[in-house]
Amino acid sequence: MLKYVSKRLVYLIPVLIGIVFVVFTIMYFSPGDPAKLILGDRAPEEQVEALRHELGLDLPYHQQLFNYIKGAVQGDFGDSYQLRMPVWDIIKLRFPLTLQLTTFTMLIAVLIGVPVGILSAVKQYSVIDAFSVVFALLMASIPAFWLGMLLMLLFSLNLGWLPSSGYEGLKWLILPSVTLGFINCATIMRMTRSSMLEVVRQDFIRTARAKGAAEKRVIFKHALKNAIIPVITVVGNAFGASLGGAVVTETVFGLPGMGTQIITAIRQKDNPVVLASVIVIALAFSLVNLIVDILYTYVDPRIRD
Amino acid sequence: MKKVVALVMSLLAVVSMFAGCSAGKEAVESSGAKSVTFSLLSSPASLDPATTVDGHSLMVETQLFSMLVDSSGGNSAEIKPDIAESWEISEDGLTYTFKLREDVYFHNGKQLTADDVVYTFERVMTEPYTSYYAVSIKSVEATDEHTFVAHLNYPFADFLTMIGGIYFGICCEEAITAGDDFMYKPVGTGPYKLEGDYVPGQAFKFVYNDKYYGAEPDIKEINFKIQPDTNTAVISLQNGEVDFIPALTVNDIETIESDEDLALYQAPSYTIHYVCFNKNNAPWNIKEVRQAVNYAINKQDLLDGALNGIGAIANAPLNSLHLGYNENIPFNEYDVEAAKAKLAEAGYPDGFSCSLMVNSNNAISMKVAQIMQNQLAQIGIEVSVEQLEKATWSDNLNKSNFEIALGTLNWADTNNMVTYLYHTDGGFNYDRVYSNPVMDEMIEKASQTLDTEERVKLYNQIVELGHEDLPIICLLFPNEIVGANKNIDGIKIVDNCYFPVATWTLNQ
Repeated sequence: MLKYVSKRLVYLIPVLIGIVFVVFTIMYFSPGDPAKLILGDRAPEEQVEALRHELGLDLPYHQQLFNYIKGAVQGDFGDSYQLRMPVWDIIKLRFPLTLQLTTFTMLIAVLIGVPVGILSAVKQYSVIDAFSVVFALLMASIPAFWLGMLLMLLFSLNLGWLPSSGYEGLKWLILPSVTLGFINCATIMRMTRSSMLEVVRQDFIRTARAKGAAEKRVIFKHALKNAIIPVITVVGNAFGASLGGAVVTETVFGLPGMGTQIITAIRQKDNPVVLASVIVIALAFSLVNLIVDILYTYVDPRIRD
Repeated sequence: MKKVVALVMSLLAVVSMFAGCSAGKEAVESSGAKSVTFSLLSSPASLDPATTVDGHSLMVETQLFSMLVDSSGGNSAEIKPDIAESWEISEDGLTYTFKLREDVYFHNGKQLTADDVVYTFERVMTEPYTSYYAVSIKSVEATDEHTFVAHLNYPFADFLTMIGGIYFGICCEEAITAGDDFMYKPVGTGPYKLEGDYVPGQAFKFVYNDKYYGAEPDIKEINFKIQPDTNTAVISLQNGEVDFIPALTVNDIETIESDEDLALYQAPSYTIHYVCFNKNNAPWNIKEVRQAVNYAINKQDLLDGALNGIGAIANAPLNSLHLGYNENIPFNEYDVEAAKAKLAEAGYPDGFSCSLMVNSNNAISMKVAQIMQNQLAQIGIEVSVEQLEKATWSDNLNKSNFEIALGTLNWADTNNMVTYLYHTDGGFNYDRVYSNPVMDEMIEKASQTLDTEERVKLYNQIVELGHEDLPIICLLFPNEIVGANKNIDGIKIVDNCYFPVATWTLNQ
């Protein structure tokens, strides 16, 4: 197992280099001059030129890329152009919040999605099943910003129970986590349902029932164990995607996380921040995938070989 | 099942560990003192007036810094003393001598001397963010501890107005040279000072500076919240989480007005929305084509469609708040037949097609573009609207990589406004394509004329010539719209919209 994990970690290196190369190239060739955006429209051209030189933006493409990779390998991801502080300090401030948001989101999504999914598969065509199908369809089609707004109108404005935006403590994470949790819950619910439905129709389930196993035991011990693998994949993907893709929710709720950071940085052409954020998110995504793969081997020992 | 519970618990434990090291310090504690909460669309990039370009930073800095003089009343208002208790202007208009108050202290307790003022001015003159504002200044000196002298390159009528602007907020020399990060640890002489740390992206707080030399403000604390989404900000205003939103749009007016706990403030802004042409290329280098476009645009429709009728139609880059506003220039010259005739005269009787470049971050421009598209279609000009991110749009403008474009420009003072748009070396006269020596001479002369009546006359002629040559078509001046809690008194949309909280009172 250790060998497997270390092999996977080594594979990460070319993946990250590839990501740096692609993102760097896109940022380099997209229009907009970072120096001009820092100093504003009113700055004299000579001084913009001087700043460009100071930031190394007047060097040819390959040299800038080389300098960046050289720094990154030594752990130096540069300073933010706009905020003029080390990129790493910004990430340290922002990433924990996004990680918290994502974790709560996935807890909500899994704790609702999996049980309801199982229930609606076991009791197919029941009221619960109908409800879950409608709920899942609704949540999969509602845009995050709209659901967030509706929840905010209800819980912050009308009931006054929860704060609408900003981050001053865990209470501020409830609405955004519920928003994202509901939306992610939809896929998990549907995946659990369809995967369970497929498994409960198989022969070994009939055998289990025939030999007189309790229904609870049949569902949780025999069926779920076989049905859960695709669900784990979906949860893993959703977790990874939320880490980088909570942009809209973070904006609506004014959360200073990675999503809002990346968007601001892209608008301002703050390349060091964009690159470092993408690297961190890619790294987190890969690690989540690795954990998912390790989980597989526990759920299904056959995969270990 | 136990395993699941254990897993959930350990996940929660890990997450709360992260909670410990992230924000949390953001919590804004209330000490019972009178306080207001500002909603800001984005985090200020800097709290240092000399390294700032965004409007948010300026509004925040206004609370922290004070200037030599107070010119916040607008163009026509009298300039009032601030740090300088009096001043003299030499007869040639080239030397200003300021007598400074002796009871002014910085946030860090250090007394202000003329050396701090010299240091501040020299910084403004050399920092790339601000050097533009100081081109009229030749040199500055401190003749004694409380006397400051500024020498100008040429007589400059707007000098006092200019140094009353926040860019000239007096900074503590010691705090900057000590190498502390002045951007995030500002030390000024204003009525409020930063409490705790400023961390970009997170909420922060100012408290009353008890060493402030001026009148003690009623409001003792200002909290700032970052709310990138205006809809969210309006909800927070309604449920009392924030007390003040500085930049609303016409779409928010109804919500604010229908809530009896809230107050809405509106005033004309200094922001001109205009069409500019790439006069490097045909057909835009032909004056008749530009005139045809001017005749084809119904500005009333633009005002109604893009701004719900709230704001003003522009006949020039100057509105009623600017010095030199000229009512004689026609506001709306909508006339389809005249437009067609001009097009035919220019050799394009059947029209042509072109692209209109718009900054997609500007909601007003986006609406204006759609309406203009229809209006220009009436005279056979097929417009395709090209929506670009602000960075790209601005890059394309600077490189003259466009056909026609919608632009905006915000200047409270007339001199900058006309220089930017009409002078050969003007900042927004891209590629210096518009060049009329008569225009340049008049602009230069107006900026150096100290007699107001004479200046007004010159500016009147400048905008008339601008209308005649038509390098740009002026469209609209939207209103500044501000929403606030009704219990705040004294909110004024002044000249530059910087909202000094020290002049407000709070009824609790």
